[in-house]
Amino acid sequence: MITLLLVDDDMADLAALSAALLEYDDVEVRTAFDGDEAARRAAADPPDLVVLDLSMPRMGGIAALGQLKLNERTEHIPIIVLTSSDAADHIDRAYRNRCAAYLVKPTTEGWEPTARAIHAFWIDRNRYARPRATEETP
Amino acid sequence: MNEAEVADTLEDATHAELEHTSRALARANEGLRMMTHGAVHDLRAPVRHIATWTAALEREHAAELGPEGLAKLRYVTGAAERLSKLIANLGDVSTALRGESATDRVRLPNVVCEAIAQLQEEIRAVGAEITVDVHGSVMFGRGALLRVFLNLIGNALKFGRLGVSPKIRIVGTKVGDRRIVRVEDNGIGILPADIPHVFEPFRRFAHSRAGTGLGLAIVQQFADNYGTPIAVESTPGVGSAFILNFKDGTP
Repeated sequence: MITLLLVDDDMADLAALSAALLEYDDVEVRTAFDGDEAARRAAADPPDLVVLDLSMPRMGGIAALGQLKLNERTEHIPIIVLTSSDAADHIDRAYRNRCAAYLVKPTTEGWEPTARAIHAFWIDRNRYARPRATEETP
Repeated sequence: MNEAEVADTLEDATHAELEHTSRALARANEGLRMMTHGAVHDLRAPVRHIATWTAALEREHAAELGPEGLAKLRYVTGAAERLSKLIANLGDVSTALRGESATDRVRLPNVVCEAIAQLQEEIRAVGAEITVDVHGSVMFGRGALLRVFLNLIGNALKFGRLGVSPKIRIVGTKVGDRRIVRVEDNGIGILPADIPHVFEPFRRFAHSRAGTGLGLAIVQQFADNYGTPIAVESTPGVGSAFILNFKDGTP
């Protein structure tokens, strides 16, 4: 089971992405509407993966990224930034603040490729993290 | 007449009686539905007028009304808003009473997430934490299912405990050809004595809050229409769970 925390102030995007991710039977989705709430929720009950929008009220994505990476309860959680901006300085700042991956939101209604990328990221991450010995068992 | 014939005659009589009662019930139900439908239709316009004209009064005559007048006017506006909600809910009742309409194969994640998106203001207002773990499809009406989740999640948002951050979980499991979905909260809960009555319309309980008193009645009517048993588990001061037993629709 993968527990995902999706953080976005745009409810339509949040709903569409949640629905697309829940197509995978091993996914459980939690939601937060701003960076502050995300940091609190993640610290209280750490998810496996955080998907974070950048432009949000109260606490934006970059500040939330910093907060999550500073807290010892949440610093190990991989964070995927998912935002509508493909500006070079946004991408740069997100990676400097230790995001694991940077994705741009789809411009159409089709969220399936985004959901697949997020799911694949987690699955591959698990495989690479597994010790060599287990890899060799048939 | 031997014993078997007597039994047959009795059975026939009971059948006829049952059929008669069921026809009478169906007629009464249809009459009720027509009346609800008519009332909803005729009440909408006057309530809209009250809202429009009170808004105009507030906008254009605020100075003449003064603070006291404005405060009184806002009572009227508030009452009109409540009335308009009640009429919208009565509309749902009338739709639900129409009985089963087309059954669709409905994707659970889509409907649950759409309900959450529509409830965003209420979710933000109380700072609720929502977790969704539902997959696959169920056999139900799409619009009806959205209404069911809007009412159940909306209820969970309304009945939070003071000083406790609301946590709502929507979890589904597949059991044979059924799909069981639980809408769980950590709210005030329902007293054991009130549980048998939670689906009754206009039923108010010790710790009732703002609402039209029709939300859960609508949920049950829709659940009945689509052959979906519904149950409640609750511990006062801990939380409640509404459990829906859907016919699975996953291909």
